[in-house]
Amino acid sequence: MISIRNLSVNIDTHVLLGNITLEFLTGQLAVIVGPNGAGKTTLLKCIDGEIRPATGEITIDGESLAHWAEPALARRRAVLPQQSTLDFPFTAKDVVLMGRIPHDSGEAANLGIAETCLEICDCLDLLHRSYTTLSGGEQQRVQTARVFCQIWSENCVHNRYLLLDEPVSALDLNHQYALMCNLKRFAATENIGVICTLHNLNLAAQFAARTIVLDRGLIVADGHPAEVFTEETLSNVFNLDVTVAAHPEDTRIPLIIPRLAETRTRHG
Amino acid sequence: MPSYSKSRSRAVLALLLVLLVVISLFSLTCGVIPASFSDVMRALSGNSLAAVFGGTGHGAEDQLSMVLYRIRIPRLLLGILVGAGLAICGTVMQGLFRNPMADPGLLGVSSGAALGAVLIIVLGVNWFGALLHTMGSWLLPMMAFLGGLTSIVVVFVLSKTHGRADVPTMLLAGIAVNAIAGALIGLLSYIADDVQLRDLIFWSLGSLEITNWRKLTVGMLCTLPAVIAMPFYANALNANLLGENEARHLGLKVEQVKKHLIVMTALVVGVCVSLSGIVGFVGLVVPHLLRIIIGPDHRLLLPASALFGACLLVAADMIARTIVAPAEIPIGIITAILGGPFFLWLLIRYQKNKRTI
Repeated sequence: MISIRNLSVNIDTHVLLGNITLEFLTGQLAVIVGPNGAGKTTLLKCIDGEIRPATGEITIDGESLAHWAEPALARRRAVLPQQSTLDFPFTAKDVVLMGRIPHDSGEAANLGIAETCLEICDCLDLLHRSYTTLSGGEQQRVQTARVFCQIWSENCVHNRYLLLDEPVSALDLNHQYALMCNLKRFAATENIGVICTLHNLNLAAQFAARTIVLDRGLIVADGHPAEVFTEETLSNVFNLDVTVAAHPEDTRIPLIIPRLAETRTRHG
Repeated sequence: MPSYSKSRSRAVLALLLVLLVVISLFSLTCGVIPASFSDVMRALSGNSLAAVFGGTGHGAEDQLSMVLYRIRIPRLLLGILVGAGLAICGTVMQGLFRNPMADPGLLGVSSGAALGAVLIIVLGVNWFGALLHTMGSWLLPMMAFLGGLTSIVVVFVLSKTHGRADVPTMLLAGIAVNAIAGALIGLLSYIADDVQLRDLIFWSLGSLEITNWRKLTVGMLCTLPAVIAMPFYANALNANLLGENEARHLGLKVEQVKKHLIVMTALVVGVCVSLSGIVGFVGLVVPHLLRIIIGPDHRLLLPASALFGACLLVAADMIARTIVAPAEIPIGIITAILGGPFFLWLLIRYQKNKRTI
């Protein structure tokens, strides 16, 4: 379990995160949504240790984040940042294999795992391509395969967590859905705790077991998307009138549609 | 682009090692006293060297042994040391800066080291008499190390924006450090006496001339541990290319790795500069050429850089010694003539496709 208590982050007098208390469980896909600057990335960066919060404590499996040894933590938790630059001509396979650096599972086993992860991300045909020649979406899929590769385990004895910051930002529709299916499956069958930020609310609604709505550094709502994604909450947070309908195939899944300009009550 | 495999790495390294041995033997045959391979092999065998030490031998063969032992072998070893050292440091710096344009010469590490060394050469007896007395041969490399360390830390801190050194800022920081070190070296040569000045000029152009086994031994003792240690940081450098945070998430102690590598780079560059003066572009050219052929993986690139750097510098030294024989061209001029245009070509390529070098 990842546990966050009374977390605050400020830059000068500006509050990025205000007194956040949250718990993330394994085996669950949790999605963080919110407008630009709401603090989604800041929250993830606190959990991954990149930002030291002004106050508050984060523990992973009961142990404070600062007390974890880096290699042990790397076997439990993988992080996909919003953007990565790599200016050196590694092959896609090499990039994915870097995910095995914290493990000592052997060259042959690592290669097998890397190829499986590339296949899961539909990158098997990019295996020998130089990373620098790939398109933005392809690069994002290869990086995703790398973090999958990092927490891959045949018979895992400890908890594992996957943190992804806008993992679909460069992906086409097909790959967006494929990735979300994979994340949901990892959570359900591999008991991995997946925390992911998204801008696409319908993707969140369809796949997340839990959605957390952040606005200006505060938690506005937290729960199952069917409870959280109400017209009132979303319209207020995103400052845009939306209609929340039911998905035609499954009425439990909310479908978020921005209203037409002429019926909007807010500025538009 | 080829990806990493253990068996392929072994083959590449074995090939480079053979190349180095062949070039080394060939370089021993070159010089004022002509010698064939078999002459060199004979002279290198135990009997002849024993004759040199015992002073019992005479004749052409023993003269060759003397020349080999006193002049050509130390020079060859220095070439291997400096070539391997500068090349592997270039590779490490490019990985550290996450930038394929980094090089000890361009970024002012060499000239910082040179400043430290010149300080000792010019002011040594007057200002550092006591130190010189206690530290002897170790003082010069140590001051060069301190000078190099100051430069690399300044450039590293100045050029990092958002965790990666962008090319223009990094090169500008290098220019600034080079200018400052150059000015101070100029000032010191202004107050140097005639003998010191001749030393300085020859040395500032780079030369592998060495006849002092003691200096060479000190140099090897300082650099070899670092050069051997650097390849153990290969995975860390690979991960660092993804980004510092990404490397941390992969379980690496990034801050510690950076400190180790920066100190080792300054040490190796400092010692190389203190022994051979400023030999430019080796650290830029070698990793680039190798990356094209063997790929960017540091597990192979680091040891291969050391071997290939040694090959290149020994070969360059052969050119320096032979084309105007019996005189010689300072080797720094040869590497600059070859390396300068290569750097220009890299800049043009960088301009064309911005990111991918």
